[in-house]
Amino acid sequence: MNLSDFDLAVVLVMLASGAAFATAAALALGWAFRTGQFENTQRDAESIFDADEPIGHVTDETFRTSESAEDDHNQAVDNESSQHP
Amino acid sequence: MTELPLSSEEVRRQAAAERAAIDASCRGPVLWFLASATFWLLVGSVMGVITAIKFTHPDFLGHIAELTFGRTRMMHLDIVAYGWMSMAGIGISVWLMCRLSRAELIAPGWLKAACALWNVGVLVGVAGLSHGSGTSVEWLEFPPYVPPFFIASLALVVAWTVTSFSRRREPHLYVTQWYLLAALFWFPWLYTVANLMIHWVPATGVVQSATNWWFAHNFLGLWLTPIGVGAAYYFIPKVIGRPVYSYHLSLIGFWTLALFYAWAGMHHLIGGPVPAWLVTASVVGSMMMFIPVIAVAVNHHFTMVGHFHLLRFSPTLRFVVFGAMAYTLVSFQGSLEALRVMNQVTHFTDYTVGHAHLGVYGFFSMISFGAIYYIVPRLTGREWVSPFLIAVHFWSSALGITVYFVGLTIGGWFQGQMMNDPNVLFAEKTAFSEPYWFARTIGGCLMTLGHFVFALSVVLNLLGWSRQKPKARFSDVQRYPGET
Repeated sequence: MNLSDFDLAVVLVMLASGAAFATAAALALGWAFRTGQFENTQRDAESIFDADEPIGHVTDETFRTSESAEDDHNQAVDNESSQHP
Repeated sequence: MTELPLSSEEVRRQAAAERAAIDASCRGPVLWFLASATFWLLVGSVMGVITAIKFTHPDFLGHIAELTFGRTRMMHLDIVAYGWMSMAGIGISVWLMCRLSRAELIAPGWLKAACALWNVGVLVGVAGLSHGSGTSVEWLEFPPYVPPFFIASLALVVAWTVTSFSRRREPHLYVTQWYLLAALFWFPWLYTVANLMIHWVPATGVVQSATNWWFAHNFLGLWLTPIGVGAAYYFIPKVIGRPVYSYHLSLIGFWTLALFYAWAGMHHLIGGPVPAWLVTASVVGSMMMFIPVIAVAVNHHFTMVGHFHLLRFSPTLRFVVFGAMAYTLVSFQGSLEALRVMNQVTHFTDYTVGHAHLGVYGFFSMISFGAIYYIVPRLTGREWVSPFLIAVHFWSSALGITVYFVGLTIGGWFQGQMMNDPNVLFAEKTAFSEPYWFARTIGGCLMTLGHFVFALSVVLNLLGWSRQKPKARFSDVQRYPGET
């Protein structure tokens, strides 16, 4: 197969690009292991919650038509306070 | 002096204040991106409806050169791809990155400049397409002078992402961040290489076609999919208040997506003049995509189990769960379409068009709507003015994409059967398709109606209209006035 200089350049660009892509993925994976990203997955799964929006707290109820959302929230706050006076 | 431990109420207030400060810092750049995306959604939808009508009424607006079929079709695709989905995706990603990094947004000027550049790019591109300068390369129809705007904008967004990420207060990455970081690495690379090899230093022969479909398929797979799936991994657990069912599974889903998706694009060239091994490798990659898709589907479903009743109350959950279900469906369908035996029927038919819309609309756009319904009130501090408008938007969009998808899937399948039969005239196939094209127009009109209602909600919220007594207290500013 005869490749012109241009085709060869295209092939080299693609190979270099693919190698850079694979290297980046490998580096990302290495960084993740080195920094312990996969060590405590339970904690990671819960990291989107905080003390103000804890697990069990519903954060979007736009369609609720009564004051029940506010009541539910107040109830949750009261429960929390009574458990941790 | 020894610090006294904080009481639970103080800890709660601190968390709320931190979140409110992050949201306040995101307000300008994120709202610019989301408002721009909403504007382009309307323009793109109108172009889509005009294009759909032309299938059954070819002379409709045919006397205006700028609105002939070839141009409106290109404008519809590129406006929704770059104007709506990409801008919404960036806006949502920026907010999620700040929230998950627990860091206030820095350098808002970079993002505002990126937003301005992107808008100029879309505007110049649309002007070029309307004047007949389209390139005819699918998903890259904008004239070759447009990509520099997007590449410059992406460079700013990536620079911002890297800088922000290095300043994060949360050392551990949530799975959503994996997806977002990957998308913001993959897309600039994809887009630049594709433009280089197709427009600027064009490769010869079929390499151009291969590059075209490598880019076009990965626009969905390595740009929209990671943003959409990543957003779903945040919003579903966050709205219902329950951690994701299996965090291990979510990581497996991410890394297998990273491993297999990039192979899949060549199945668009089945039957074309490309090496058979290239297509076969792509078919294998498409089959392997069952792994990440099943991982995501199982995870989302089991996270939701026991909480489906919340769909009644949360617009975000409704849109995002609809999008997550569409993701499973479209991914299964896409993998099967990659099989040669299936492809020889569905290729070059409306079946593919229905499939593409289920992906970019049923999956990505619906998740984006859900995300925007969650994000905007937190940035403006105002609840949506009318839940009724949101409900109208949801049902018109959901019904619209369902009519569209079902119509084109059934029609497309029979089109394929007819085209494979040498005894059937092409004119007969065209006449047969008419009712299905009418269904396409009805579906498109329903979705467009939803978009105008959605835009009305967004505009009213940005202008300061709000329900006087919010039922759901989402806003930390409302809950703890003075904290921020």
